Amino acid sequence: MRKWIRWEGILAFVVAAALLAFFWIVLIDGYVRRGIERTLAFLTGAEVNVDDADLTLSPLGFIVTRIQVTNPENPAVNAVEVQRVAFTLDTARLLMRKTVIENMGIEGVALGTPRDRPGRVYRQRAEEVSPASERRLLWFTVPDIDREDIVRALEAANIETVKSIRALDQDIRNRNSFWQSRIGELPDQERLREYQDRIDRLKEERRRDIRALVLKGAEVRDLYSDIGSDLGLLRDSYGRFSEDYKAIDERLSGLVRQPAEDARRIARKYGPSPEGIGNITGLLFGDRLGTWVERSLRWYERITPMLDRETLTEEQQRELRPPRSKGIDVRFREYAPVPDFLIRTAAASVLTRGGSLTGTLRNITPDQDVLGAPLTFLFSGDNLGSFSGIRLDGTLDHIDPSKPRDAVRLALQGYRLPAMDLGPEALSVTLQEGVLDTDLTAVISAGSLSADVNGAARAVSMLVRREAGSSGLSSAVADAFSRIDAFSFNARVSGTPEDYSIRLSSSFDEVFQGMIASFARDLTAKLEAQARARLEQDVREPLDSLKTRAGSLDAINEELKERIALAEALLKDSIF
Amino acid sequence: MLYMAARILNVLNSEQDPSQISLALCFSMIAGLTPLMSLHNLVVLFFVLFLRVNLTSFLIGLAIFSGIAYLLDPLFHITGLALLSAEPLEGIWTRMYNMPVFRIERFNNTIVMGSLVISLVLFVPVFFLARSGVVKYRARFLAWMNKTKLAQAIKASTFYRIYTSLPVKGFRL
Repeated sequence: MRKWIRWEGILAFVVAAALLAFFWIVLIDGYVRRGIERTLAFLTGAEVNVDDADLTLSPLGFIVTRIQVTNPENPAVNAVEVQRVAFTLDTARLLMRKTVIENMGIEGVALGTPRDRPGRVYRQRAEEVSPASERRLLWFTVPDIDREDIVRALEAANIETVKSIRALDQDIRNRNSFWQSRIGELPDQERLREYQDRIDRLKEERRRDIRALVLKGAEVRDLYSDIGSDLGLLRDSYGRFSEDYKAIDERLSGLVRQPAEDARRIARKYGPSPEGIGNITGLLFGDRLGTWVERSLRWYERITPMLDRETLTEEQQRELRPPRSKGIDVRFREYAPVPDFLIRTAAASVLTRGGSLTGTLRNITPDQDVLGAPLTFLFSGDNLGSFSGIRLDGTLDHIDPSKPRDAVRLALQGYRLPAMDLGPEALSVTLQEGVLDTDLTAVISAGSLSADVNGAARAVSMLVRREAGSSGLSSAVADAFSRIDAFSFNARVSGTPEDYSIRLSSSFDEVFQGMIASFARDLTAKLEAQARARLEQDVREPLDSLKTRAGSLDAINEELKERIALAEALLKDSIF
Repeated sequence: MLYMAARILNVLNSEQDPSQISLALCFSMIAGLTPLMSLHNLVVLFFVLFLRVNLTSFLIGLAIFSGIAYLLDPLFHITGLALLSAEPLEGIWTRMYNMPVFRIERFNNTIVMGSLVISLVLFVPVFFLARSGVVKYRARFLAWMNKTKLAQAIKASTFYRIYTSLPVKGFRL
């Protein structure tokens, strides 16, 4: 037995175990500190520094001091600095590999504090994406008539008009040929004069001997019957000719009007419309709001993966090739399910220039389906320097991971607006000062995004830069802006986080609506006149030629009318 | 490298019981093939210190098996996953999953489970194979080796100088 037992080995084991425990306790601080730095750096894309992380053994917990998160947009300052984070861990659950923090205190959160040295930026911010709306900045100019798309539209319109002219020309030729031939078959003036001669002869006979004329009653009847029959033939032909003549005349009139109609259509399509240039709210706030939406969505994209733990099916687990020496953890049913990571309550205080903003976050966990409760947060504060009051609350509900619903509400009172440039270059407006009250509600539910922002600004002062040689409208706009001392706005965002649209409206729209509509009409009329002149010039020659050809039908018309008048006069001319 | 080879030879040639050497190798196999910072390796450490096994063999074996473990990782993962997802065993795993000691052990990790099971299965065969190998080495190979010209050449080399500088643990070439 003694050969196999090494009693002093027990002492060695105890010493080795104690050394391991000692090193664990000594090293765990650094391990936690580096863990916090790495995790936050991954989320923010910039350097994170933690001054110290101290393990407390009774109760088991940590006190982390001075967390500095570099602002990726300005590495010389911190996006957030937290003076102290203290929390205790549920030891019993820790043995089950569960990190459950009942209460966490986050003290002294400050924004935009200067750094000792510039932090490193690991991930450059993506280019700010402008809202998807197509901006048509046609503010002070008539669209160029030689613009490629307008030239194409003009050419297409001309081709159609010339085609129609050719078709009508051919039709007139056919009709002319047909009626020239037809008119030869109809009773002509010579024949009608013969009828006149016969009537005159019978009249003469009547004057000489009425009885002899009575004996010629059948001849008289036949004569008038022939005249009536020829008149019927002439009237019938004239009726059909008139239909052709009218149809051709209408088509000819249509073609004469065509360039004007095409010009109107092109001007309507390519000209500035009140809708196109009239959404002054979009011009002023569109870019800024689009940037805010993009930034918010980027943060949302970073946060949401922390709310949903990726679960693998058995088949996916089989197909998965985990990193070397890592493996995957297979999960089994728990008798008393508790999330692997849970912060039940985190109380935070954010320092601002005017005071502190306090708030509470509840149920921070990636396993909401296990906990059965959503993450909620509520922050509020009064008299905070730039704000007279703020309240931010929300719910991130991922209890059913297939139907997540995240909602946030923000109410801001008395926000003193800093000076900011609004609008594009064509409408350079500077908001010098103002006080804003606003409410925001945003919901992302099952992949669809909807947000509603309402705001009202008062004590506003605005300035418009007047360009040398600017148009009358720009001066009118500048004057109108300078008179504005309050405005309200509404923004609605809808769609999906990947593809959304923003609808903006404000009291500016009402102020500028009439002005812009009238301006748009003037610009459109100018474009229409230019287009009409161009179109008419191009089709003038073929149209003149067509008019000349159409004149040939007039002769037929006149001839038929003369013959009918002659035949009618014959019928009226009584022998008796 | 020369030093390690010399240590191996030194142990093999020492007067230590072959069972003590092979048992040390078996323990090193568990500690080496499985993730080092696992709870069961604390038990292995206890046995290595408490039982009179050859510590040099353990440390050398640990280095060798740790290298082998890296190559065998895919095999451990597949084996562990197959065992952990086997329906007949689900009841056992569920009970273990709800016991703190096994959660600390991380038995539900595919690499831990696969490597631990494989090393435990190989424990007894490796013990007897290693034991038999040491005995045969000492009885046949060592005696034959001493007579060869190669042995004579080695004795004149740097390697032999290192070897002879090590503490004597039994008979020497």
